[in-house]
Amino acid sequence: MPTADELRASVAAARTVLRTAITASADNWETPKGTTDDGEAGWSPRQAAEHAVPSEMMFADAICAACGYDGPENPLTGEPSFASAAEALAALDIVVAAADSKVDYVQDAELGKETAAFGFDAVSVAWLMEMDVWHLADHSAQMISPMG
Amino acid sequence: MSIADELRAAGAAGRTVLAAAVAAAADRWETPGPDEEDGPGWSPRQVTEHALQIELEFAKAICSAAGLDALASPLDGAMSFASSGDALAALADVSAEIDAAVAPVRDDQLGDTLAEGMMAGMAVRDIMGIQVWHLAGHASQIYGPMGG
Repeated sequence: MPTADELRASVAAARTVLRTAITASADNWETPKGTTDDGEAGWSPRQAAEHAVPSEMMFADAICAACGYDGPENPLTGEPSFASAAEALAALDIVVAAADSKVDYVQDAELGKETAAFGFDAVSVAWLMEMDVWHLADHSAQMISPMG
Repeated sequence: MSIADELRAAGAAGRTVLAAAVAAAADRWETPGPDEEDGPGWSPRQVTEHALQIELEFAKAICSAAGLDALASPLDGAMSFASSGDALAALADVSAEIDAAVAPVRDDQLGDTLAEGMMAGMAVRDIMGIQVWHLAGHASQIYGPMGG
């Protein structure tokens, strides 16, 4: 199993990829990648960012719940709305700072701690961090897919 | 940070995310992914072997378009990884080779285009962007829907 530091490094790399995807999508920010029949795959970069950026807080909340920490204070208020790629990048920065203010304290011995999250009865801290990487990678790929 | 530096960092981050996905797939290395229209989905092994092959092709294309020395594959044509550990070792070698090969790319070369091959006509900037998409997409695929 990866260490907590290794998992944090993977999450940080995935956030770098998301930043790149958001930046690269500035000129087609509101252009859908498909139709409503395509579900999430058809979202515009804006929709994907408005989902992916706040989700970072959900992952942090779940990790904190598993570890028994107080969750981070959510710096985003109300329904997320990023009118431009620049707004999304700014929001991502403050969300990452809030999430990391707690997740930075996770120790290797806590990676097996579990909580109910995302519809599952019990998922571990390690699983949550890996799924955070997957989620970021998935939406990044969606945003910059040349297929859409 | 220059645009070329940002794109290089995104590529490196994409390879870090791919490595995280490969490590997470050790216990299901040869298990087919969810069925697709034309049959069973690729296993993590198949995805990784493809992703690294294409990663080298992208790097070669970047070097060619920018007029840099050709990239020599550190794998010597061997693209068969019996375990995720083998793949991670190869990915580390490939990453080091690519990092060194594309390091000289400057911002004023990002518009240079590839003269021939499947990516003919593509600019360095576009190849580096698609490289990030390809890595993120296949990392996501290896993780599978919420971890497979």
